[in-house]
Amino acid sequence: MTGLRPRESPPLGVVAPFFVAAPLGLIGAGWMLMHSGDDSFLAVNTGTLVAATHAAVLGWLTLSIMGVIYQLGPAVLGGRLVSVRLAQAQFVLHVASVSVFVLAAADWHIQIMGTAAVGLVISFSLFLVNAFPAIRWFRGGPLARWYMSVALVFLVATGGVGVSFVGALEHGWFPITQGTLAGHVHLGLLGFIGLMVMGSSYQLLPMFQVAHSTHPKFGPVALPITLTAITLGAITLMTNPGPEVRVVIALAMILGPGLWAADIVNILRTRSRRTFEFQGQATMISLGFLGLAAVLGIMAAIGQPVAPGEPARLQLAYGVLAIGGWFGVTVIGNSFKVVPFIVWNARYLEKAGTQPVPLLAELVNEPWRNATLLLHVVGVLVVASAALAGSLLLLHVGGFVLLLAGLSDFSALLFIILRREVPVRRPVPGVFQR
Amino acid sequence: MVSTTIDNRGLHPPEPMVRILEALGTLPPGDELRALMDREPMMLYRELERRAWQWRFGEEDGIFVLTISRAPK
Repeated sequence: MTGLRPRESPPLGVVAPFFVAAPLGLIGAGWMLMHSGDDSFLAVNTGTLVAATHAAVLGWLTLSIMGVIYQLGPAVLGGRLVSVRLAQAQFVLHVASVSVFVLAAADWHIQIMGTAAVGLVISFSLFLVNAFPAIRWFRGGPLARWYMSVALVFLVATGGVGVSFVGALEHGWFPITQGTLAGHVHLGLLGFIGLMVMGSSYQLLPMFQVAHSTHPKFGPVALPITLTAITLGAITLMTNPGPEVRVVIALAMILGPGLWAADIVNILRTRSRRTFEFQGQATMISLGFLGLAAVLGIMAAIGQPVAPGEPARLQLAYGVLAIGGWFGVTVIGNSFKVVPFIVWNARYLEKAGTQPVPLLAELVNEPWRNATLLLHVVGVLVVASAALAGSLLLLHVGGFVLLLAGLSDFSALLFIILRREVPVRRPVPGVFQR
Repeated sequence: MVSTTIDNRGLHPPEPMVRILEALGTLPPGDELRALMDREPMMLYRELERRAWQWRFGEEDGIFVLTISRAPK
């Protein structure tokens, strides 16, 4: 491999739909939170909360990750897609299955949830057929490839557990307890989404921030620590352990992301450009959310409810800060770099040097993009505060703000892709030193 | 041979690549272009190869320098 291979990327029409459709999941999650009932603080597995969580995780975050894998794999990690048509079919199946699953979960139609789960299993299987060769699974090389390879293994594990849950609901195979639920959630969130976010940040942040620190100090250590903590932690959580064991698991699970966060701060500290632009700002905000989620995660592990009779309030706040805060803000920060970049590669790379071409900043409507991030951060904070305060009204308001953030995200990304005439504001470089 | 230098340090991608390709478009025959860089421009190499330019990348006084000239036919 002689360098990056933007010309090896799949066509824009294959990858772009993943990024554009992803915020529809955030819109769905916001809508579900707006309609959550007063049982939301009693248990985190109520219909609307399960629907909101899966809309955000399987819809918004997972579609973004799939887009990143399909794009980064061939263009940066030297892999290839087995079939572009397969990726397109998988996209349609995934969007349909998530939509049906979320709507069925909201009304707790277990049989329909089961049917949608089959669709999801097929979608993820098709995704893996392309994803393994795309990232050149476990072939050594960049740190991002190692993180993504392990994350795909956790995706398989999470899917297996998730399907067994649907079977348990339908056929009573085993009781679904707080412990089994926590094991499943941490396999999926930290194992799949978390490692994907960590791995892609190791690739995307130095790339777009032009950082001088390209050999992360803790990255090679944080991965095995996180892998071990999630594997042992999830299995142990499924046995419904006591608070002492849960706290140990929580601390072990926090260690890897903590080390990764130290690397990320170092990467941003050594960036070549003095201005601290959008992706860097979003990343720092997401690290703040990671810190808050870690604190609440430990408190949830201790298991002392913030209010008697409402044991789910702490867990709900913890989940929102991790999913919407840490992962979600990172995804927003990266998508406003990745989407303009793939549009630029598809439309302007060929023309560069022969005629004036816009730069990434000119492809993006910056006020719109900034409003998206602001709305999202406010929405996450309102929902987390609502959970901690036990206010259903505030929960509905937070859901509405997240819905607005999703709409803003969706339309801003769609604008980048659909806009054909982009004015070039940048002067063509004239006189150089001779 | 005249050497023209552009300073691409502190610029976000793809601006360094765009500036280099634009500068190459106005480079007189026989001249070479020197670009001061923050890092090795991996994405540019394919484009240079495709457009029949040759290059060398190295470090001079702690600064990364990419030197580009027309590839011999």
